[in-house]
Amino acid sequence: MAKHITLEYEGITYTLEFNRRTARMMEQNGFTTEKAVEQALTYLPMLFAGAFEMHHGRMKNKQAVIDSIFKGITKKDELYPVLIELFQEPYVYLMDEPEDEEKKVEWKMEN
Amino acid sequence: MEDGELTPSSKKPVSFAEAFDKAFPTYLLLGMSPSQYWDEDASLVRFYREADILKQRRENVQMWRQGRYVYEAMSSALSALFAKNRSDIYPYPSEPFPITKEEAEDRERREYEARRQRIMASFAGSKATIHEGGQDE
Repeated sequence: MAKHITLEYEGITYTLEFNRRTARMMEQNGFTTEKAVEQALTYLPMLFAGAFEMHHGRMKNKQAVIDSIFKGITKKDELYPVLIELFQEPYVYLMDEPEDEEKKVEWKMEN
Repeated sequence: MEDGELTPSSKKPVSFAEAFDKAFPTYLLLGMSPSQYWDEDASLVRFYREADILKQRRENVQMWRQGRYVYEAMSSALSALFAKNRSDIYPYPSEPFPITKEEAEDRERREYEARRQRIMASFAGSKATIHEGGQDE
């Protein structure tokens, strides 16, 4: 299974992951890894929201819920590289095989 | 420029979308559905690649086995053409080649048993002949 992040917010478990469709969608919206590295602050919310599309693309009040979760996220600086890695997974699996065994990343929400 | 020579490219890096589109037909050929490719777990492609290698291996073994059957048939037919005695004819296998280790062991056991029975029968036959010969005298 591809890498993903699970986080719990108000009793609901959310899975953050990218598939080819959502990674493609991100690119169509102007997101690239290069830009993300150069302008982390600008692209972090976009990348965070994009990671919800695969498993929670149809949830109610999506943007409001994602914004609310994002506000409560701690260690955003550590989260960012992990999200970039998730974004690259659909591409990486096409080109080669990721070597590390750790697939699941748990993220704690601390307020 | 020779084939395969690496030269610095002025092209911009391939986007994910381009790479996904380019690889899509390959994975359709390997049996993935469009939904699996685009919407499901990104790592699925790896398993389809691995499954394809297994499939190719299996096909390779099947072709090799087919070749062995043809070889056996040719050997049997040619030996029948040139054999002076019926016992010189190379027999075509009476049953398919064993596939699993268990099948091979089982076949070996049955062949051993058949050989043993033949020896016993021939031994019993010669014993009877000797016995009959003794009675004649």
